[in-house]
Amino acid sequence: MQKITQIMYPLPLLLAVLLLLAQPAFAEAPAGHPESIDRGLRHILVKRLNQEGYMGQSGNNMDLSRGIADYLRDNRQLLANLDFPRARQVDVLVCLMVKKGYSEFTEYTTEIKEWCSQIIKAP
Amino acid sequence: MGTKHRYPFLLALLCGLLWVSPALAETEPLRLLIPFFFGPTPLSQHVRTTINFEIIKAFRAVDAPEKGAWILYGQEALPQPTHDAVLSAAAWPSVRADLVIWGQVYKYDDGVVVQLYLTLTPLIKKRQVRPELWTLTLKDGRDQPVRLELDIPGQFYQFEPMLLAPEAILAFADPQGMPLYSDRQGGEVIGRVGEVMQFLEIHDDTLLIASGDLQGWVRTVPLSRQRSEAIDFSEGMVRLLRGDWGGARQSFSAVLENSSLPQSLRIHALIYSGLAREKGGLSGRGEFEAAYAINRLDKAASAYLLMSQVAEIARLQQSGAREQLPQARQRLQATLEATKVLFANDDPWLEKLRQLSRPPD
Repeated sequence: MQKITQIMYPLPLLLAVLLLLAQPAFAEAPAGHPESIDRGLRHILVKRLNQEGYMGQSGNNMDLSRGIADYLRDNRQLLANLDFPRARQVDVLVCLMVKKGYSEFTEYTTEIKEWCSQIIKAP
Repeated sequence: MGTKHRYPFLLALLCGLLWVSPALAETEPLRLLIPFFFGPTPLSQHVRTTINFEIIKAFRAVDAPEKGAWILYGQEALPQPTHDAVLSAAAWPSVRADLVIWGQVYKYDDGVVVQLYLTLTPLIKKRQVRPELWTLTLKDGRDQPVRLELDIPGQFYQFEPMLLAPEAILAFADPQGMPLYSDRQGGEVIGRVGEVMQFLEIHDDTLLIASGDLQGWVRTVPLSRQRSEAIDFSEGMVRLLRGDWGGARQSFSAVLENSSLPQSLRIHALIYSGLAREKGGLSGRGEFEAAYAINRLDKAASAYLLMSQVAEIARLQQSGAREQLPQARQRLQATLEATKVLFANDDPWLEKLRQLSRPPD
């Protein structure tokens, strides 16, 4: 009986989390804000940033924002132009990821290949 | 219910939710970009914010199959006021928008004229959940299953100019910075909207917003003294892409009430209205016939009319009313004959229709 109660204790919390996941969310943010990144892109970005040690423990939006900023700062030697607006951080990051040979980002650069070539230093 | 009985029940519920939640979590919300409007600043940006809050009303229904929506407000001017420039802006990794509502603003007498455009981007086709796709699976005369699919026809829309009263325009360049009130009516200002906001409740005149640590009400004002087909059409499209069939029917019905609507917009509004009816379990044939009657050379109107006749065959097959099937097949054959010039002779979609129109051997 005690065992069952112990097992059941976190259930309401788990159910609440899962139900929250199932709720539709209607949100608004400036284009380019890390919180509003396309889900597929966010998934691969978090994975690579995590691999390179740039994501915090929680993996939340604040971690992602910080991870992106830190990654750009630490790789600034690869950038030809550091004068880009904050809304373009994610785009610069994608350019860098492609430059580093992470092929999963290639599909996201169709529209910005030329722009990437201006942002990233030539070899 | 005792603990003994509750345990397996909760475990089953948990397993069910665990099974369902990854699918829901993976579903990408609809992404709508509202970039800087062209025109004199800061007026054009104030108009953009006003239109932005008007469009949010399309998200009122919460029973749509996809998981919410993101509105992205652009903070950079587009290079040119063209659909191509808009498509390019929407494709940037940081944006990835499914549709874009954009516009140009002009001063006119005491008011402001807004020319609105709606651009659907190719990213729509990459969404995991596409409620707007019309698919039918039914059996042909030889009892073989045939699957038909029809995508929405439009990509670019230009609307009639809309006159805004000066008092209707919110005095904010971006949605952020607007005052948050403690109550829906009255109350005091408790702070300002931040960069990221979540809409908790959506009403005609107010929106309950959570932004940062704050939660409060934003007050909007009626957009125009007259209904605008641009807003109704854009809201209808958002609702259609979310699978909110009742809402989409309501929006496109409002569009169709405008007697001076340009022909191409009327045809598409009829098609989308009919599609929302079909998707909602009703017949949209009346709307498709009306669209086809306006222009018999319109390929989209013809395709939707043909599809509705196939849907009718499917309904008859399912209801077991087999005695009415020959007539339904004849109607399909007649429409096929009348519209075949609009399609390539070897169009595989048309070939499937021919297959379905043939009587059993």
